[in-house]
Amino acid sequence: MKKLYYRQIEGRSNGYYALLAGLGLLILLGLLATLHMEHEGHYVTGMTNQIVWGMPHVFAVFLIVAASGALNVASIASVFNKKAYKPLAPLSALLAIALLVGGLVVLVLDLGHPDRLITAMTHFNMKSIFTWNILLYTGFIAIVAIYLWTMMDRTVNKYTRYAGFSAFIWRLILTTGTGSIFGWLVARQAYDAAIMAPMFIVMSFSFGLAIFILVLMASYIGTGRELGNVILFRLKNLLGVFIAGVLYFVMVYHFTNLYATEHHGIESFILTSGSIYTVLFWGVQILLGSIIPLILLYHPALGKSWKVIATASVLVIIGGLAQLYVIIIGGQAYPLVLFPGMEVSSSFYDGVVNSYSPSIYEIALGIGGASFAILIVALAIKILNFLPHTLDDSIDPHVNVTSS
Amino acid sequence: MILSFTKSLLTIMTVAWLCFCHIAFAGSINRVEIPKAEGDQCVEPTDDMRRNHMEYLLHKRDRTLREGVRTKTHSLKECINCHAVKGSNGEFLHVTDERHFCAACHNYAAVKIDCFQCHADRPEQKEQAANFQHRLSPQSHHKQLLQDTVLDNKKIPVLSPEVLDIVTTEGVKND
Amino acid sequence: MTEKTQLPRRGFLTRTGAAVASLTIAPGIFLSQVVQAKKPEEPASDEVRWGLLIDTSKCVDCSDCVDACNTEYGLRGHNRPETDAQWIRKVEVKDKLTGHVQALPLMCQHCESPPCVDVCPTGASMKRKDGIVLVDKHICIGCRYCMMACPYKARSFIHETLTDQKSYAPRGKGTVESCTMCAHRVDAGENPACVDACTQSGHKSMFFGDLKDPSSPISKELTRRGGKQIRADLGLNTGVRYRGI
Repeated sequence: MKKLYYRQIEGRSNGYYALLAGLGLLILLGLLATLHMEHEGHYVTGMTNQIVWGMPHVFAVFLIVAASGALNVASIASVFNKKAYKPLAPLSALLAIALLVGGLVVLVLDLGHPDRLITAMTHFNMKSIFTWNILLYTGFIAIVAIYLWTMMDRTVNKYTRYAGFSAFIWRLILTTGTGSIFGWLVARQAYDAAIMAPMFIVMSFSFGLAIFILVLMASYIGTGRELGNVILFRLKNLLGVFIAGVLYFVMVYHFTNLYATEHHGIESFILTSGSIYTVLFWGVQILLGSIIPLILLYHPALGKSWKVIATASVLVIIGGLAQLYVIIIGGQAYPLVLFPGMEVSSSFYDGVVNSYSPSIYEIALGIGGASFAILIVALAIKILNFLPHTLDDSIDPHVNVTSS
Repeated sequence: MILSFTKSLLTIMTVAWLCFCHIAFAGSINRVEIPKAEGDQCVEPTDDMRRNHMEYLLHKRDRTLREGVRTKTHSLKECINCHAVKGSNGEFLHVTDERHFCAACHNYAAVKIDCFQCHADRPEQKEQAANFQHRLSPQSHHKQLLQDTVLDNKKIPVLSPEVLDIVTTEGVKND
Repeated sequence: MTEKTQLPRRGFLTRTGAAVASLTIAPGIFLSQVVQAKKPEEPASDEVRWGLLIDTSKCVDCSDCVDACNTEYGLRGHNRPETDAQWIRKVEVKDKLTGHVQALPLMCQHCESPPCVDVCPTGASMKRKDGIVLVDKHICIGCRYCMMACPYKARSFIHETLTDQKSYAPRGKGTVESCTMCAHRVDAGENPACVDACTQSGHKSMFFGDLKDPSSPISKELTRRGGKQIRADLGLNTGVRYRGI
């Protein structure tokens, strides 16, 4: 039985520097794209007066949702007292902050006026769920930072449970807020559904854990530290449960809509029209992002392979992006119902399915934000003791955790 | 509280920077040339305007947009109307030109403004605006005078409230 | 409005030039008998609620209201119809069952409970006391959540740099905008540009006035022959009412 130590990574290998350089380049490209969009105006993007939220929002919402989910591993340790997860808790909290920051950067840099960020911080309309989200996001960063402190400083270890509990409650409220951005929109057929909030919570479990598994694998393989099968298999089994949970909520959402005649239009548009959204829904979100990973993760032989677990995690991320694309872009592509039961047409694209082709700038911004999140993690694990020196199977979860 | 702290911090930093510049580049700084306005006198004393024009504009913008108060005093539209600068071709200059009234100072002070992303940075042409480049003294045009006032040896008579309403609402053509 | 001071307006002044002293009593100078100008220093009052009534049976195949709006606000296309701003548009509505077709102008409906105002994080989307819904572009951060929330697709985002805007209608890149019910004209006692254009063209399909004043022509018309809301099911109590839908 070994005692557990947290150690910085050495971070001197060529691979590490190549990673930093690669991420730096992607971030630079993202910033250049932003500069271009903000200088020229949004006409250079694929976004229009019809599709007002585009690719940046797919990335931003994905990262923000995944952020709260990444905290789950820590919550399982601190709130549900599963000691096996305890060694992973600091990385989980770090990843949560990093992903949230990455997502917020994308969201802010896509604004018509990113220069007025201070306005968003000084003028609040408390009836807006957006306002609440601004407070929830900043609060999340603060609370998780405190949580990290209680984990990493032995003198305040005794408060970890409380901090962990607060962070857990906060993240549930936060994802409720993110889901409600769509759930509370009465105007559009695809939204205006209370199930959006819990669905986003389960989505966060799934996306966040998938990213966590990949980051964990990458950092342990990259540094040559040992990562045991026990902990990894626990995580992959949990990921399977979350994927099934998302499927369940997606099913309930669509069945509810299919029952009401008034929603048949949007449902057939997404599910059967053969548009890009149908392809993304069935092909990417359901098949590639849910069914295949479930089979891979629970397959008695395949599910034990690291490569397969990593592949399944990547598929969950791709499926998650597809899901948000269908929700965000698909929900806007379907026309507003101005006159129920009537056909409408105008020069302002009333009554027609709106087209959207994402520009390279939006994609660059989204990828830049994701890269920024990873860069934060890569730098933080070099500077502070986030990672256990080993996670091999002999690590006894019941031995006291010591920070060096 | 935080705002005022930030403000004073910024002031201190600015002063420190200016002191540094003063020592470092003594004698090499040119004074900014402020273009002449059309009217006889501004709606507030020049010193006051130099320091506080942003406060007046900020206060006025909310009153106008959010409450619907349409008085002319401190209205950016009127500032532009009076302070517009013509280029060599006789056309009014855009704020992107450094001779533009606002740009002249703001470029000099390196203070970026975003007023003109939305607001017109030059007056509309004569045929479009009833009060185009009015020459009526700002004293009467923008303010209700309670008694006859002597300004620059010119007597400005008291205007009846009705007339003032018209003048402040519509402005007066100068031809 | 409590104070029914009748003030002269622009049309008169332009005609009379500097003859300002004799303006106090001058009958027959009003462009419209419907609206009273408020004093410039007087803020918008919640004792009025400005509204429109659109009689779709009189709305013919023309775009005078749209053109008037575009002229008034200098809305110019940039040959990019998907990103070009439209404050008012003609919508053709066809009954799938009967094949009956009608056209109507659609713009910001100036809801009593506007979803755009609810969702705006900074309070830039706002409703004036007299019911006119506006965007305060000074604090608009360009998040477009209001565009997601509007059931009428009434709002446009400005996708490019603009110059030489109208002095009474500031608009610029990175902010959201929509029909202002011609607040600057209404404050001066005039009708919205679309209404005047519709009247001048002889179609007389659009009426403007105070919905709270039972004696105003628009209220009388509404009481007498009714006027429906688009998407009344949303319960937004729109300030723009339609007859014949």
